[in-house]
Amino acid sequence: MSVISPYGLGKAAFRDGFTAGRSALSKVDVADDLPYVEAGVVDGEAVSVLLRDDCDLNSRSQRFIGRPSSLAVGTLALMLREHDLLGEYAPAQRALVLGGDLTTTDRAMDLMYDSLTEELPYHVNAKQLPSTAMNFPTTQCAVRFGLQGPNSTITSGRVTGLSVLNYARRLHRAGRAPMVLAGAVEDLNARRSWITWHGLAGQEPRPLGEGCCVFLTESAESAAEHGRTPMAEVLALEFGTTLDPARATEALTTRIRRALASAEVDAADVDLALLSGVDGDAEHAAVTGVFGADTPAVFPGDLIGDTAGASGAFQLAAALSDPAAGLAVLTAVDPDGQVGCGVVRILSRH
Amino acid sequence: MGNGAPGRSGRVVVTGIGVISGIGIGRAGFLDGLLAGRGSAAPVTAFDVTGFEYGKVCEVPEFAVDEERPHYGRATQMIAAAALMAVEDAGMALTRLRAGRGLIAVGTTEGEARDVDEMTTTEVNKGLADLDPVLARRARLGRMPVSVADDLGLEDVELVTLPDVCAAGNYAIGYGLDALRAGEVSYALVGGADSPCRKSFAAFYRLGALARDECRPFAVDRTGVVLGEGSAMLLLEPLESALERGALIHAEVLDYNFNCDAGHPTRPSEERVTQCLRGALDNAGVSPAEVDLVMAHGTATKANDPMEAAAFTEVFGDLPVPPVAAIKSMIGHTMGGAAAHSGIAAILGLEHGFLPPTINHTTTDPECPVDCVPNRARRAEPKIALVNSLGFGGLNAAVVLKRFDRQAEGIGS
Repeated sequence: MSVISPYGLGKAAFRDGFTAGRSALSKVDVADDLPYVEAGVVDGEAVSVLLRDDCDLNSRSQRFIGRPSSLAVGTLALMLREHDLLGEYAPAQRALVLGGDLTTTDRAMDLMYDSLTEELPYHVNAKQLPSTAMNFPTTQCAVRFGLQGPNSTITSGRVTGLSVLNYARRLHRAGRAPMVLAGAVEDLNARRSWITWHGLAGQEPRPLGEGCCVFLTESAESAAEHGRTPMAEVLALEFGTTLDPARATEALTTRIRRALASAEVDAADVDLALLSGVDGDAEHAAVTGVFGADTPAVFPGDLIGDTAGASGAFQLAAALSDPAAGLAVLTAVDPDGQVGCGVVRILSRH
Repeated sequence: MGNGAPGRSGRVVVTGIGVISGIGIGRAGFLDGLLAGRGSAAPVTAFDVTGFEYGKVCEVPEFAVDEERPHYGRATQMIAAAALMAVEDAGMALTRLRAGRGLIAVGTTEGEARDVDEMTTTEVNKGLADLDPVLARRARLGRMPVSVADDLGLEDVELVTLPDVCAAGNYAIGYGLDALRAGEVSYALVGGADSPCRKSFAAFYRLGALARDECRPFAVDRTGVVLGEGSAMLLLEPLESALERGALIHAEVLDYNFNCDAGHPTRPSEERVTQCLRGALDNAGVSPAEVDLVMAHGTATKANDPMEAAAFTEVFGDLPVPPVAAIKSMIGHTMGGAAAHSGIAAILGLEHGFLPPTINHTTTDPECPVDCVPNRARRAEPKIALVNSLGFGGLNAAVVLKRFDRQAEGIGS
């Protein structure tokens, strides 16, 4: 596991902050004209130093790849400090699946902004075009670390973190790659803040957050071969959607029950539920309905802000950081109707 | 994780096709357009091109967005419409679809890019605090498959958007194949869509990648691509379920391969494209000698076509390169939909016994020495098609499709 979060760089910073229940939110500068007063912001300067030292990316290159790619590349760089994946696996064996939500919309609007405001409509920096596509952070990771296997970007709103795990699982099952780096990224900027604010019109706005989490996924045999102790096993993933937002609780309840049945575990055995938390009431109702009020239900977003497309990845990072978790359930509800549930057995903590 | 309807053989077939394109809507309309070698490039109407010296796009003026559904943008509505067509084409009862577990995987390059353009215009004129809430809501790419579920009344369904740019259609097909083979879903609606926007037009224009008039893949006088809009969706299901319900099978999806250049963001690596194509054939258990049709990415840019022709030459080695069709000449570059449009063109060729044409062809560039089926569809009996696609960031994705031969399968017609 590798994490860059508002708590700082690395999984230790995240674990320490999260397990202490410390808020990573800070006041936003009123001069920035943002709709939110608080946010979970990553220390950009620390990321910049990491990219310079570990990835040989000077400040100009960092500006070119932009913040979402910087967060993703930096998170992978931290992963590679710990594991010699580039030595263990040939380039074509290294797969990456990375999720997000509004990850590169800011870059797309930059380019259009120039088209609207420069002297002629085509006076734009065309080299920026690839960075306006949502797969740019994923492919920038590939470029920096020679990941020449399957490389895919995925989004399913707030369910993205669970979808990414499913994508990785399918790559493994189909024998498409022996090692899949799976994670999600979301960055904070004024446009994302306003688009989210307006897009959630009528719902209570919550502070936004940013960051990236990446997980090393491989078969148990491959992990053992490389001397790694598995941290967690994904026992079940279930997905669905509801056409009626009022029925989100019911839709999620069905997926939680299915996931428990598929994982062959009882609700009573679950130690901890981690919630995505934008539609907190519906999600919480489903979780307490299945597990009762005694099972701890944790909203990581309360501490680090709403990381949107990366929220599911942060839920898993939180499960892997919580000393009380043996069997954890991750849930997600998107305002658009998608729901998802994962059951994860925590095997060791790092 | 099991769902009760896995195919016993692991074979996956295409039973439904839905298309929106500049040369035709629906399976029959698209087939007609391919056979007629129709083109669709015309002056842009979708966005303001004042200040550009030229501007043609392959639009679909017949497709009108449903104003009653303002919460879905144009590309999203195109995906929903194509998915509905695919389900109807498959003769799949909605009750049956709703009773099974499904996957909807939508490939795209930029989703509701026009909405993002519109929001930028608001930002310039008024500021971000004045953004339209309707646009802000529908700009998220994850909403594209939601519209399909909404239209078809599907709740027991996994929804994903794969923004794997211009290879995304093949990514979606591959994802559906793996989910079906694993027995995790009983059907998959897969494909892609895009609707070009001013932002991309400006950047492609600036890059010198846009043709002034027509897209002429592999021709000596090619000057670039024409952007296109549209959507393409396929209904995939296990062979056994298709046979059991007596469905018309359009083709079989044999396998796919993805890899990444991990190099230049916009200049593909011939070596990696070659490896991707070879990998797809290996995964499918097909030898190069068995391939009868290659669907090229075929952007008609100076750089792409010689690179692709060289990759094909390498893959086929001592064998002649099979006919190579590039339908961007007809429908433009539909980006997230492009690979799925190519795949459907190949399927229709396998099913109806023809090779789709590459139109606007004058003289083949000696640097791209392929038989591009110039200008007119050609009668033939192709059995295996290889569909190539490439995307920004060095994404390569190839899919292998096979004609479904009822006689050889021992099934009466």
